[in-house]
Amino acid sequence: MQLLDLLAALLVVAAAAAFTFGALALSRSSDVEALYFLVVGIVALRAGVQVARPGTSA
Amino acid sequence: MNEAGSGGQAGETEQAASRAAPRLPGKALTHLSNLGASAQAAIPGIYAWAITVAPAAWARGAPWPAKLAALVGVAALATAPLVEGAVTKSQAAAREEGRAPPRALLAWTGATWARVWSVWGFVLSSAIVWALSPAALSSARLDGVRGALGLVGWGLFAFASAGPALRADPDAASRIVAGSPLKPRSELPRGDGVYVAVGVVLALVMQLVGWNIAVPERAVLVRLVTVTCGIAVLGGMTSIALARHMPRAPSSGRTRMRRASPWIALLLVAGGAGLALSAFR
Repeated sequence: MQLLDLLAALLVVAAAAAFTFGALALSRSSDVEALYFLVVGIVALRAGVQVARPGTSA
Repeated sequence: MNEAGSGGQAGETEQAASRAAPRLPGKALTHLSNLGASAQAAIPGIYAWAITVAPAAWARGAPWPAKLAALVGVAALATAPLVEGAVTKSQAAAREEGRAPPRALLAWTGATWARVWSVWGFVLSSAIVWALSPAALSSARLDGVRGALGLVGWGLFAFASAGPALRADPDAASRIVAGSPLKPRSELPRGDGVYVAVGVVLALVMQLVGWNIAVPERAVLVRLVTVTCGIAVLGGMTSIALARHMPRAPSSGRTRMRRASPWIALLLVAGGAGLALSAFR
């Protein structure tokens, strides 16, 4: 397992954590906080997938 | 020629029989079919219990005896096959030793004892639950589709309890057409299952959030968000697992980091902004 694969997995786990915090905030009716966590989750998930993709394609 | 032909046929039959030998799910079903009618009736019984009895027992305001009665009903369904096996075993032991079994045991077989325990234990406990929590059965709280499904479950339970046990067909092996064993096109590489399992666990953890929200619209929104996020995380984990098997250039690491750097930078900015806001608040 390469270091970048580990980083990708950690980013996806961080995205899951952010999504969970977002859902918790949404259930507390803290909509701004929920939106923030959901955006952070989406960005972390996207970063994780981009890090994992092989470097052969442009 | 004939002998060779019959030998070939016998070989094919043996092959078919060995292929018909039960695997793990098939083994469980074969074992279940050998248990008896009470075990087979337990499956629709538990289904009917889950749809019609459990929601009433665990409804808001239901007293604790209702929950206890509901648990007794499940216990009656689950332990009926054990009752059947225990009585049958004790009767067989009494026959082998040449002593007469007790009068009641002599009159009733294991299947009858199990049926009495399963049917009456389950039906009476369900009746107690509904009597203790009558509001759960009112038309305002009982969904029509759920009620119809519960009706089907109870009907199947009655049918399975009243009928004889379905036995495995001894001629099933001979009906299998001999042929080459099926081979998978490709095998799942090692490690991919771990990624998928982690993704599933993360997606399931998200589903634990938001079950005690009072406002229905908010509860539906939270459910929708958690399900969507769970699918996204599972998709991300699957992408990572699949990407490990793609061909990689020697300078792959630099390319990957360069491609991901805008997203990582955005993540750092968003994370830093959140930390700063929470610190200054």
